Amino acid sequence: MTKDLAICTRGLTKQFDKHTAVNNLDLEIAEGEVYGLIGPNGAGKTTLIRMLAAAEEPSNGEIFINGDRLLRDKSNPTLKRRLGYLPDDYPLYDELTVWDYLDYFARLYHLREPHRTQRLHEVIELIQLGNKRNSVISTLSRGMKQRLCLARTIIHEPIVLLLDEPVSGLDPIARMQFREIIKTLQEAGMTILISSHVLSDLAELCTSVGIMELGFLVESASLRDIYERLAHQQIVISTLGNLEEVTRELKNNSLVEELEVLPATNTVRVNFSGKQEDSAELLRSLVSAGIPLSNFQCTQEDLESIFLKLGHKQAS
Amino acid sequence: MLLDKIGDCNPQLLREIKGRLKTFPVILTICLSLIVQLAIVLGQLNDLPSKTYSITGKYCDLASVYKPKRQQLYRLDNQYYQAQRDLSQATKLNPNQPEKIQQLKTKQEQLKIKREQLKASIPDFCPPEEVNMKQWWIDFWRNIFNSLSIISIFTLVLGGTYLIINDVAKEERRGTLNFIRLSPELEANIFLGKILGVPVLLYLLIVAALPLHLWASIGGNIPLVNVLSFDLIFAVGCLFFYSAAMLFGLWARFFSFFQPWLGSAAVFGFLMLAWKLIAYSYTDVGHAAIWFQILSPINIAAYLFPNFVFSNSASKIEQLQFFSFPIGKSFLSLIGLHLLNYGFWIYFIWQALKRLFRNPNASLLNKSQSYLLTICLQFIFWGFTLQDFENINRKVTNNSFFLVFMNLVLLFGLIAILSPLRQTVQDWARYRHQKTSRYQSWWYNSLLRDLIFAEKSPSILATAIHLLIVTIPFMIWVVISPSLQGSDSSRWDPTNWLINDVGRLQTILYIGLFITLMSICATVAQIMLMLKTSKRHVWSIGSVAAIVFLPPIALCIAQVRPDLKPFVWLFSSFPWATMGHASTPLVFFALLFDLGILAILNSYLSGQVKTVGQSETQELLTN
Repeated sequence: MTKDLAICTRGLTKQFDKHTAVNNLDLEIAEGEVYGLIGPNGAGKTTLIRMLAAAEEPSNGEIFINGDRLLRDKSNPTLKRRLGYLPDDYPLYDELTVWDYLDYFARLYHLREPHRTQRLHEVIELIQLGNKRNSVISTLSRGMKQRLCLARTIIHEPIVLLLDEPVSGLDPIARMQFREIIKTLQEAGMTILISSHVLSDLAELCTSVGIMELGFLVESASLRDIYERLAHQQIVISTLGNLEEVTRELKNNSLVEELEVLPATNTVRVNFSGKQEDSAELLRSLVSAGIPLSNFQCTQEDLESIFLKLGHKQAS
Repeated sequence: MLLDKIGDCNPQLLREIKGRLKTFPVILTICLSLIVQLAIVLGQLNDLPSKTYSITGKYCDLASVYKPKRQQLYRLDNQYYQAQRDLSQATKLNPNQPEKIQQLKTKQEQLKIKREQLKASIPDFCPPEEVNMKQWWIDFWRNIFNSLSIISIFTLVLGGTYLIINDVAKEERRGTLNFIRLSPELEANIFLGKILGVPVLLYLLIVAALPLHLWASIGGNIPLVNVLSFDLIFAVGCLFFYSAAMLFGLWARFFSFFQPWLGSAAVFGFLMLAWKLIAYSYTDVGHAAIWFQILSPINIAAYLFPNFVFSNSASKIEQLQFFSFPIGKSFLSLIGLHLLNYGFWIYFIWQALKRLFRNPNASLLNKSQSYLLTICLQFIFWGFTLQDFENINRKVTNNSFFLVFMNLVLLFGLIAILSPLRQTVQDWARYRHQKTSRYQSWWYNSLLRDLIFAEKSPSILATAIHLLIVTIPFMIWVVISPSLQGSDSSRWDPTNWLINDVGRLQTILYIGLFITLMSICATVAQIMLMLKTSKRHVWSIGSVAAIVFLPPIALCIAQVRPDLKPFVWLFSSFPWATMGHASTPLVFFALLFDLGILAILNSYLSGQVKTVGQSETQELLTN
């Protein structure tokens, strides 16, 4: 097995009666990557992550973590130390304090003193719960509990982190805090597999993306590759004058592929196939046509649009 | 720091202790323990002999003198009242016979005088200097010791079982156990942490009573070695009960909130049943179910401690033998037997715990473990049946009920444990071909090996192997029974009946019927477990129960007598009613008939397995 792959599956299949939740899936995630898993509800993301975390037994197929085969009926102590798994629900022991909870898991993962205390301090600082370390878990907010659960997941410094819908149900600030933590972890060299519906978050975090549908991995590539292949340049043009003039002028340009008029804001959104020089030329032509432009903004199509454009919207 | 050290050895134990050993509950527990101890001591002190202690009391030295006199007095009392009754009857019925009335009156007067004289000669109370206070104090301490022991047994076994089931079931429900599962900590450490940590307050309750317990044992002249032996056995016993409780908590999730109560009720029922068995086992300990009885710690306590509830059973256990090895004769072997018996069950429970902990959907035991369990249990059952090798036939026939009953529980239990659900069978049937390898031997890839040993395969063949293991000792006994039969046995001896009236060949055919019918039950259970409905367990249990119970009940209601119409009974699910009334060819035909049904059911099941194991392409092509 290739050594530089953090996660590798071969023909991974999970069948629930006649429904195949994960179908003969070959997944390869290189070390140090942040891999985003996208897909509609029921596409098999959670089942895949659960199998990778040894929380679910595959019907067939093999899983390799850093080149070593993961078998559920064996106790796999070495492999378990490499894995960190954060499920979409995060049950906690409400009666314990933050410190005791993390200390308990640190001990379960065989962390010894003085490293254990040092690691606990590091992790608590990372999840920004320093002032709550002696608070009982039942008194924490949802976002704090989510971060605490993440801390539990990373307490033993796993090499591979599996996060299932980690930001669902969090407010924007909590999401932002969570994103920051993930970035820090990535910098620390962890390989992270993260499933989420919030594609903007994934776009910001991930280096690679996989799209799952009906149990199949229909797309798996680096984010840069996907943008290069599938994302169109978009230009948002607003005018203080007449929109028709703008559209007339735009239609003369052969690189303009599609136009979307947004009359409420006197704006036109253009799908543009040209390069940066071409968009500069377009701007020059609009200005020289005497159109009173108030905005000319070049953007790239976001992940969500690409996802929808690919037609991956079918719920299984 | 001690807690830190504990946490390094066993993180689970540290967590349980931290969550439970808080100031208020600890103080409350210690107070409760002290109050109970005080109540027991005061209760016993209440019986302290005073100036008004009866002359015939247990501790009065003069009791031996006055007891016969008191009994004589009771006899005189009876005679006096009889005379009084006779007199009143005579005055009513025969008023014309004054001489008879006079005679009765005189008799009554004489008795009265005698009675008064005797009464006057018996003092009511024992003189204080004649009270045997030494013996009273010994019994005082023994009573305290025994009360504390019984309270400890019930508190630890019942309370601990409840707490552990509740805790494990709660963790499983909340999903927190999944995180522990994913950690590299050894399963054994997690279980041990739970067993030592969850009932920690109960342990505190008992530890707070230990000084008094020890003091009472010294005061009661109970040898320290007995106390320590009991403590050891009881500790291992608790490990057994708690392991079983944990297994029940992990496995029987379908009972949900009802689970801890059900578990504790079962343990309470077991303790009471064992209590009854000990109380009434004054005739014999030579039965095959003695291993079950000695699982209760009360049993060994009755042997080790004087005055412990039932003193009669203590001497009986000394007669206990195992394949003529006199276990009961020596103190050490008896202690060893209790420890071994617990150890055996703890081993299998922990095997199941490990499997279930790693994979909550796994069966309790795998097929190899189930064979080992069946073989070991046959060894135990037959070892306690044949406690010595004299009169073997009588021993087997006397124990036949226990042997059949325990084996039925074992076999039905194994069918329930090993029969895989639809999903598991599907995984096995669908992907089995991918697990085969052309580099491996024929045996490695064979279906037979899969059916005998594989984790997910249907368990019909495994059930057949269990049935063979269970019935082989019976068959051997049937074959050699005539040579074991003594010349003095009566015509109505059950073995003679089996050899002469039924015939050995026919008996073996009846055993064959048992194997076939049990296999039919296992097949039906498996077919029902393959249903798509979520209530497949209910269907499975219901249909097997219907097969087992409905035909004999219907035949009984219809008053079909097995001796007159053996044909009908032979083809029902209870053909053994016809033993001694049916001809061998008929029994043989019944066996062939049942085998035919078994073959049809198995071919249907095999079709079902193939259908669920079809790939989508196969399904498409076949439709």
